[in-house]
Amino acid sequence: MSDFWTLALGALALGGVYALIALGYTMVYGIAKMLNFAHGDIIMVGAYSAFVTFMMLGMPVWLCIIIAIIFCTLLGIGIEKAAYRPLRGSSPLAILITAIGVSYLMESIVYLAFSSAPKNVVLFPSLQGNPTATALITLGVATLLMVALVLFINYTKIGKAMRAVSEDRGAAQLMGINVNFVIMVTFAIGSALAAVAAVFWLMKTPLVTYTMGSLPGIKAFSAAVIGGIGSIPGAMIGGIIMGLIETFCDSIPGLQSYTMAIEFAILVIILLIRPSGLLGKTKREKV
Amino acid sequence: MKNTLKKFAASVLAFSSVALLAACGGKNYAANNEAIMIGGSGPLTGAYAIYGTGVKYAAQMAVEEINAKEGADGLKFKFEGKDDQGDGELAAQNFNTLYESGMQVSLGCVTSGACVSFAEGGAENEVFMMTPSATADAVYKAGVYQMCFSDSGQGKAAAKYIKEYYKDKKVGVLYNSTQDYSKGIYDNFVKELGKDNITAEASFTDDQTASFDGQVNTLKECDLVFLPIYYTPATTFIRAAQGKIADGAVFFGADGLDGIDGVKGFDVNSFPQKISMLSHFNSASTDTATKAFVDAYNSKYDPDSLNQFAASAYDCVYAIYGMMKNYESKGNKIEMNISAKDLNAILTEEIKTFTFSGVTGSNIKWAADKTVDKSPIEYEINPSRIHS
Repeated sequence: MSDFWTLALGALALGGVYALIALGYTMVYGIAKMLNFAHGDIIMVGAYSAFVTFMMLGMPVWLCIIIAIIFCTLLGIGIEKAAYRPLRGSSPLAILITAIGVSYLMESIVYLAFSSAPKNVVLFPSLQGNPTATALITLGVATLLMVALVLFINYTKIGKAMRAVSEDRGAAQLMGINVNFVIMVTFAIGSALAAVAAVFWLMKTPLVTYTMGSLPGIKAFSAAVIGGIGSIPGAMIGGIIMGLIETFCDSIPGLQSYTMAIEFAILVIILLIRPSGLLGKTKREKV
Repeated sequence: MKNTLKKFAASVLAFSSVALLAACGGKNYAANNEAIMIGGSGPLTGAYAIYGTGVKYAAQMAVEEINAKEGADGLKFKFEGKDDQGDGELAAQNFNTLYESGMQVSLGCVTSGACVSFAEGGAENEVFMMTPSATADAVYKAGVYQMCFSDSGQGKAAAKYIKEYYKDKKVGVLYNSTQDYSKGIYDNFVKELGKDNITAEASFTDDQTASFDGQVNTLKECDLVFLPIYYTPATTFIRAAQGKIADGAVFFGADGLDGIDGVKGFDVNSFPQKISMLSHFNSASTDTATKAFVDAYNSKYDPDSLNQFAASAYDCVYAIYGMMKNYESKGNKIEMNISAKDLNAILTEEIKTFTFSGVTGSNIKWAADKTVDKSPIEYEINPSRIHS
């Protein structure tokens, strides 16, 4: 396969990973109306979980992935219960700052437990040097998960409840929907997707450090905003856009030093043209 | 309000006492010395302890060897190494403590930032300083002679090395354009090698770039990639390069690559490319002087603490000793209680014509700006790599 197509496929796969992470941001925002800035660190925890199970305990890779997903899911639920639920109804600023605090807390705990020394976690050694296969697997699984998520949201009872809470939390509660439970499920799904993203991230970049979550976190958040925060298809489109821009800029020697600048400049431009993102709902304020 | 005032008063007090401490480094009790006191400061505890420990041991060892060689009537030395944890403030305090207790000549500090703080006192009191390992350009600019390459010197040295030993290779460079260290080496490298001799260049901006796919694609034609970057992003790059950059290629780094073989899960020998770095010391060398040093060190101290920093410290002590011997060979005599200032005058004069050979190189000279002039060696990090 020619270099161009390998790169293009890699870009789509990277976009798929960003999209998986962006879904976590966008679902939590859409349903709980908060920005969960600790979301990126769930990826980091997922990677460290893989480091412990795969490298330190030598478990088979499929088991490591399952453990990482379960661990991140429980962690997401735990964080929601311990840090965000007590603040439900308080000012958005308080919740935002709590999220930043949770992020630092997770990073610090991992730093104390594992030191700052970087680690390499190669889950699939046979895929090393084969970017095409890595990209195809990533893209395939990411697409599958996104389709499953859309079906889940549209056709299951809890999915309908999620949409209802997102539409109008007060009315949903009056109709007998357990809002706390719905928000908990949202966090669980977001965190599980982050764990899957962590696995794919490691397939591409097997570098594990306690600050590794911040970069994919901020890029995926931008992807969610580009696509229109709160919108699930928007997160997917945003993720793909970020992946394409990044790989494109990284491939052109003159642009390599400006990759991030270009990515965020495009975010600004899109927000200037469509303030609520590509697929975001425009809110009509009644005066 | 009261509390704020108290805090303010306390900080003013703390500040003035620090200033006082800094100002009272004036007294030097070298007059009572019975051996020339060499003082140094480096991290002996904390995250960088491995660097300081090696330096301390090696300097100690050099001093013992020289004392044994010189006998009762000759020159005598003693070495005092203080812990600064790599911190500038502690290093400045260490200077004062050492100076007051009679330090006559110094190895400066092990790490760059601390060395600059340490050198303030050294320059003010005219103490001769030669650091084994602080590479920043700010260090020699602060008045410290370097036994190691300066950051800008590394780029030049790497280019010269490539011109000599890898003339036929298609050279590529990957650097971090937002990092002073990387950009500094890159600029000097390109200047020395010439733009025309570089096949491809790639850069990145963050140590945790998502992937190096694009950069690898830019560099795929190259069979030598110069990597003046830290070892953390280098692990990601080398992995991404598999299957794209030729198996027989060379990944050639600067001192930032030191430590790449210690990354958990990154087995340097599992890659078909040669991973090597510009250095001035190879512990596996068969050179007689180096072998004698390595054997002596390993029999005395923890072999894990032996690195290029330790070797460089060993050479620093011998270089200072060599200059003093040169001075004495001209019919002069150095007393054991000579003041730091007088010894500095002797050494700064001697170093202008001094040529030194040690375990980190031979025919070593120093330029007027205090940087070192020596030939670098290529230290192979993965000698038992797989060959396909």
